[in-house]
Order: sequence, then C-alpha cells, then structure tokens
Amino acid sequence: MSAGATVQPGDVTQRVGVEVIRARGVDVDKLIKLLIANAAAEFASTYYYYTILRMHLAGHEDYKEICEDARLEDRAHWELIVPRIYELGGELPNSLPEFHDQAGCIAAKLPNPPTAVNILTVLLESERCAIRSWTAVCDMTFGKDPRTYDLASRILNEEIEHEAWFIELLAHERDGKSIPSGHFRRGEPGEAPYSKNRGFYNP
Amino acid sequence: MNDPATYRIVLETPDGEFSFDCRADEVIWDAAARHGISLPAICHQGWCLTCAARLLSGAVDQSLSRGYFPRDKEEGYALPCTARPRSDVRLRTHQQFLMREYRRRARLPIPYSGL
Repeated sequence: MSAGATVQPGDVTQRVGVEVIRARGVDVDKLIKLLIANAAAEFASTYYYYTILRMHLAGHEDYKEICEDARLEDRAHWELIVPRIYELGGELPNSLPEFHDQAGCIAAKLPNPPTAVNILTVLLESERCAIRSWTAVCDMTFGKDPRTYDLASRILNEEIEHEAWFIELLAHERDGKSIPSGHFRRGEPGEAPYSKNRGFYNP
Repeated sequence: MNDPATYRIVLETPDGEFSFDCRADEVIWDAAARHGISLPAICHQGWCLTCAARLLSGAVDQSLSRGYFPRDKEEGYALPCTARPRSDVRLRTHQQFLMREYRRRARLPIPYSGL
C-alpha cells in the first residue's frame, strides 16, 4: 500500500500531504515545532528588531537600505513559512510573548552604543543564526518532504545573501577592508527574489 | 607569548564516552568536531539550547554565550557550542530537553520551547 493510501475518501481529519512525508520518515510534530521557532525568529527576532536597527543608521544611507532589504525579506520568509505550518496541522501560538520567546535566534536588539559597527555586527550574527536554523530544516526534510525543503531552501538562499552583504559592510566600516558580497541592487526594496513567490498576495 | 593551556575533555554521549584535548581559547563543540565527534547544535551562539550538556566536573567559561544565565550554572548546565574550558572537564551531552524543562520551571527563556 502506498504512503497516504490509508486516508479514506472524504476524511477531513487526516491529510495525505502529511501522511506521505510521515511515511518517508519525517517527524512531523518536530518539524512543525522547528518551523514555528523559525517563524518566530523571522518575525519577532529579526523583522521587528531590524525595523529598530534601521532607524538608527542615519548618515549611512547605503547600510540603511541594505538593512531594509533584509528586514522586508525576513517578513517575506515569515509569510512564506506560516502557511506550511498550518498545512502540516500545526498552528501559531495565540500568545505573542510565548511566540517570541521560543525563537531559535536571539532578538536582534539595538546595541549600546548604537554605532554602525555595533548594528552591523548584530545584523551579521542574526543572519548567521538564520542560516543555521534553516539549514537544520533543510537537513530534516531533504529527500523526504519536497515542499518544506523547497520553502526552507528558498529562505536559506536569501539568508546566505544577507550574511554576505553584512560581511561586506562590517568589513568596510570596522576594518576598512573590501570583502565584496556580490550584491546587486534588488529591483525594489525587499524584493525577496527566492522567497516571495506570491507577489499578488504578499505585497 | 605562551600557548594557551590545554585541558582534557570527556564527553558522555548516547554513543559512548569520548575524550580529547581542548585549548583554553577553543570552544569545546569545535574541538569535539575537530576530533570527529558530532554533537547537536543549531545557533552556535549559546542561545538555542540544542547543544545543552550537564557539567559533571570541571569549569567552563560561557562568556561567549548569548543566553547563559547564572541560574544555568547553578543548575549544572553548560552550552558546549560556546563553552571554553578552564580546567579538565566532564560533560554529559544531549541534555536539551532536560534543560528546557528546567528553564520552564525557572521562567527563563526557552528557545525551541515546543521541542
């Protein structure tokens, strides 16, 4: 019997889309929890706090605009992954503080003093945590759950770009060194070329 | 300039006991990886608790950790991803679920709290 074949016609209490990946060895409950923690990091640890960091980059308009791209793309990541949580049978906590506190990455809070170097350091380390978090999801789903893997790998693509951007900016600002990131300007702020696949719905 | 001190690390893991040397300026997780020992970790910033271990003996410096509380030390937990040895050390690894339980009781942050 093929995976998912045990779901009876008309049964709305089970999902073939879940049973087939469970049959392939995915711990679906653990995956949901990882996705919720990563969604919390995208929304609460980065999107929210990057908004504040951006506000304190006056006089560094280039840094501010790169921060803006990362900020908006983290919001796109949040928008991209939340539907998958519900598809898998999970749900977001109804308490925002509870949601915030389970993020797998520490909140990117405004450093003291809020110098450009300190802000860029916070941004860089936040991106690095995001890379590690989404790599964990990719490792868990590779070859078993193509949909979650696809979503996670799209997000990972952009987090890797973000890390390269902030390495370039921090090396320039702190060390006076040139470490090019390969950055090309986005078509518009927060374009999210990999992760924003529903432009009509996710403006 | 003198080389940093080197300490003996013993890990009690679900796959058995492993031991190796670790310099005082090196993170225990990295030294384990250098010796071919794979330990759990995600954030590598001393925050997410995935690498949590019990400190059975010895002393570690957790100042690199982003979220290590005085109570964590009192309760005997360490985060090897950001822990540097300050003596010979014995750790019991793979303690993330127990550490989250303790953090819940202590009302301290619980990253990946659903796990």
